[in-house]
Amino acid sequence: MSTSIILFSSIAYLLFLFFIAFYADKKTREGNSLVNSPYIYALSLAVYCTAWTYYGSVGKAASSGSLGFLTIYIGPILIAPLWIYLLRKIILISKHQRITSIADFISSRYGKSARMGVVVTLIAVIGVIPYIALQLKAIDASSSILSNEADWMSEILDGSLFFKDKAFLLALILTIFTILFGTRHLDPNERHEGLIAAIAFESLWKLVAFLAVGLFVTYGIYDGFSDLFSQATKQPELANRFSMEAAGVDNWSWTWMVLLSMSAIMLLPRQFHVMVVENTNVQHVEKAAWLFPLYLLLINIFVLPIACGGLLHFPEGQVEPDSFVLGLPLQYGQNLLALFVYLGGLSAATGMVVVAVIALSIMISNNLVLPVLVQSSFIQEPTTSHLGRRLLNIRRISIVIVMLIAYTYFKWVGGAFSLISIGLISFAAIAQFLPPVIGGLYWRGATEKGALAGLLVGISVWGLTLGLPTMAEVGLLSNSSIEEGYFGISLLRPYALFGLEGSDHIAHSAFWSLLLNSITYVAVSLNTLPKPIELSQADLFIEIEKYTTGEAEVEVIKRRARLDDLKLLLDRFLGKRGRKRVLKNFARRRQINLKATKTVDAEFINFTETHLAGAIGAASAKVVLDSVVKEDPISLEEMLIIMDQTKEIIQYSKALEKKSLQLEATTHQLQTANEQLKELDRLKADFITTVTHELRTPITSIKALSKIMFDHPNIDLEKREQYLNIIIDESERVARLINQVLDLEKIQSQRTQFPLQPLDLTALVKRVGVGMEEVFRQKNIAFSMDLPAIEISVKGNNDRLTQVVLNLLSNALKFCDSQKGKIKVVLEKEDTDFVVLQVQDNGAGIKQENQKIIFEKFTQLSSQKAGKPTGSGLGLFICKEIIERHGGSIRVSSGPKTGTTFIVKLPLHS
Amino acid sequence: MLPHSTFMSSNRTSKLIGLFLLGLILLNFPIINLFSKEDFLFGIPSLYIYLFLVWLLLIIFIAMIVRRKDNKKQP
Repeated sequence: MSTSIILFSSIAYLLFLFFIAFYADKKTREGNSLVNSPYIYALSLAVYCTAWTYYGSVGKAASSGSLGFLTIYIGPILIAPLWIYLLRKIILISKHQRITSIADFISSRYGKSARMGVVVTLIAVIGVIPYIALQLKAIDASSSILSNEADWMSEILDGSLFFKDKAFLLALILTIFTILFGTRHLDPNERHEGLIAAIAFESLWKLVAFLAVGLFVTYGIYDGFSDLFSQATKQPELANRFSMEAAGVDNWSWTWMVLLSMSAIMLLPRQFHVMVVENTNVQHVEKAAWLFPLYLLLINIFVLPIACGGLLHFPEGQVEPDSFVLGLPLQYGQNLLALFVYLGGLSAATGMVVVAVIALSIMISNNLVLPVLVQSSFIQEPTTSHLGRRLLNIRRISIVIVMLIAYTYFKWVGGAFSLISIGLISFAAIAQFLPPVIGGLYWRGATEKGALAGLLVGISVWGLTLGLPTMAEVGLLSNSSIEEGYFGISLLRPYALFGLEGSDHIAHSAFWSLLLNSITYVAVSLNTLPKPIELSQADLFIEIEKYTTGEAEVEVIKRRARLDDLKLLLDRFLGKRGRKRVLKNFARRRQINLKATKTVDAEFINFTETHLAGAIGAASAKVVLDSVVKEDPISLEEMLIIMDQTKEIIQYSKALEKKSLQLEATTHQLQTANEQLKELDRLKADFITTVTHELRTPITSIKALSKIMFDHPNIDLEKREQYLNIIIDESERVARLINQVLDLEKIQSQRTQFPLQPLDLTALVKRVGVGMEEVFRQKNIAFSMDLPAIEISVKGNNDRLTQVVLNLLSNALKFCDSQKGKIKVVLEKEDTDFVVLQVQDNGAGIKQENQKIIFEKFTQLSSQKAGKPTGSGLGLFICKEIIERHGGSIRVSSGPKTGTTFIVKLPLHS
Repeated sequence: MLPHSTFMSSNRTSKLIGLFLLGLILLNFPIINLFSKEDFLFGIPSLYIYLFLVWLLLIIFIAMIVRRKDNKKQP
């Protein structure tokens, strides 16, 4: 393909990105943001996938033949479930403090320390520059592969000395591109919605392009995955490459790569920028937590197939493994696909470079340049023009410088390394932020000195074990240092520090640097005291939820300032219009009249500070404010008082919580008790109604008959006798009813004290049966008893059990057949534990639906004999109560033909 | 007694932390070594299938846990 086509399509593509950015910015100004969507957010996170992913993964997979390249993506997907807490917390803190970079974040946590900002920025620059250089290398290499014919354009390029170097041209275009994207205006929140829209588009493009080439290789050249792999295994040098051991990925380095990529996804300056600074809504994190891993899955699924395809086609190494993605389509004459894929690679590289350089330039200007400038005359000069324009210029210069360094690195060192090893060197440098960030989010005792010392130790070890040795590869350091150790000390061999050998360089360096970093961080933190501002920042970072939900800010440092001074500051950094808008906002939100105020309190100063921090970084903002703010440093006594108060409040609230829990439990118990009482009350009322009703019926008839006899003294004797009989019967019924009610009361009141003694049940049943025999004989009823010859001992109450048997027998008497009545009592041991007493009659039986209710109070079934109920309805209920109090049970078995059998089961006395 | 919402979200925290730990174990040695053989499943290297399968499952689980809360939020 000709160079001119490549150049023109590249430029056309970049212009199209500008159009997208411009359009998105316009939409934002109109008030309907394109970027405010979890999908755009997730796509913007995919700036993680750079040219390294695009070309390097295949290269790595092809050169070592394994899935080792996947570690870079496994880290991010493993940490993704934690985003909803970790990332959310970081975003909330950053929004609250208007943090605009990872350097700002760390410096803000450790007391808005300016020197911390400097250190973090330098580490980030050192760590990320090789990574930017890597992108230059990737685009440079890919365009070389694509252009295989000389044309007028390449002649012009070759002819002019300035443009002889394609990478330089590229660096130049990217610099302009970045400046245009990132420094068009100064946003107090460092948000670039247009940029994010363009990045999201690029992410989409690179995904589609990579999937296209993957599908082409897997299904176009070969016949699906299995065909591809089976062809690959036929080659002896490919056959054994699908396991980890064969590929030289040991367990140790696998674990460390995963850890490094886990920290990179959150801490790389560009990731922090798109994830935290450009985040439009915290809620987007939830969807991104699974959308982003899905993106990574899709972009990685074809890496191994492409690598295998490439190795099968170019076994002699005609094409570098890093370029298989382009080489395969070109081999089959698919020029359009190759161009499409090339633009995907361009997307990956430009996206990374633009965001990374913008993030770095923010850090450089806010954390390196401004803290110096604000202390010099720069800030003091009585100028009315605001500093926004100067800030933007500082940014632009930083961008140019970063690109220049990256280009230089590429020229000197870049050629000697593959894409993936340069990337991993960066990851190891950035991972040094892990201890201060995680510690800062959860450990109150962490101090600025500890974090600073840890970072310095960590980055030094990184430099010794990875940074310097790369210099040796290009001849800037003698090779003897690598082999024999620095200064000839064998313990200081860079790839086997302290004699630790046998793992790959990255894992080795990551292990030592992170270990020593963490140890120093913890040890120094434990032995130094935090300053008051560190304490208040620590509280804010650790308990951010408290600060975002309520205004729970505890004022640790008392600060006062004149309003006019603050106004002047805001004028300089935000412009007059910006200042007026900010102040109006504040006055409206707090309901105060700023015109009448002269000196302002800490709340207003904090407000000003966060706004300034958005523009110039936390550390610089603090320095600027310190020049006009009077600080009453808090005394130890005051501090102790605050701590005591806090402790008291905590204890008090804990006690309160306990009390309220107890109260709740008591309320619940009372409610249940009340409900039971109500139920009992209702039952009692029912009971009384029924009892009085039962009493009224016989009394009415007694009264009526007595009155007849009283009014008619000469009533004949036969009639009188009949009436008197009825009166006696009814009186007996009343007496029986009263007795049973009394019994019931007695049983129910004797809930616990119910004297139980061992007794012989056989004798008891026999006694009752014999007593009743006479009655049965009178009524012509065949009565039989089937009792065992032996004594059956149960633990029970003699009177009560007698009452049960008597009740059951009179019941049987009442209901048995009127002509040929038959009653049988059977007593037998059921097993070793229970004895069963059955009382059978041959009456009409009890209907199924009635069998359940007969044991309830006042249930009466009309007998055929009497036509109306003759009992009180309490007999069976009393029986049931007594039996259950003995630990036994009573049930009824009845059918229309078989008569009724009551079955009583009692536990034996052992 | 904890307010209901706090309980729900702390329950979700535990689930997500659990998922993180599970992933950490499944996608690390020694478990991956079990699949790191020259075995082929449907003609595809077993390690390749295993890694992408676990990956996909993690995505599905995260989506399920996150989505459940979304539903609850809506009245």
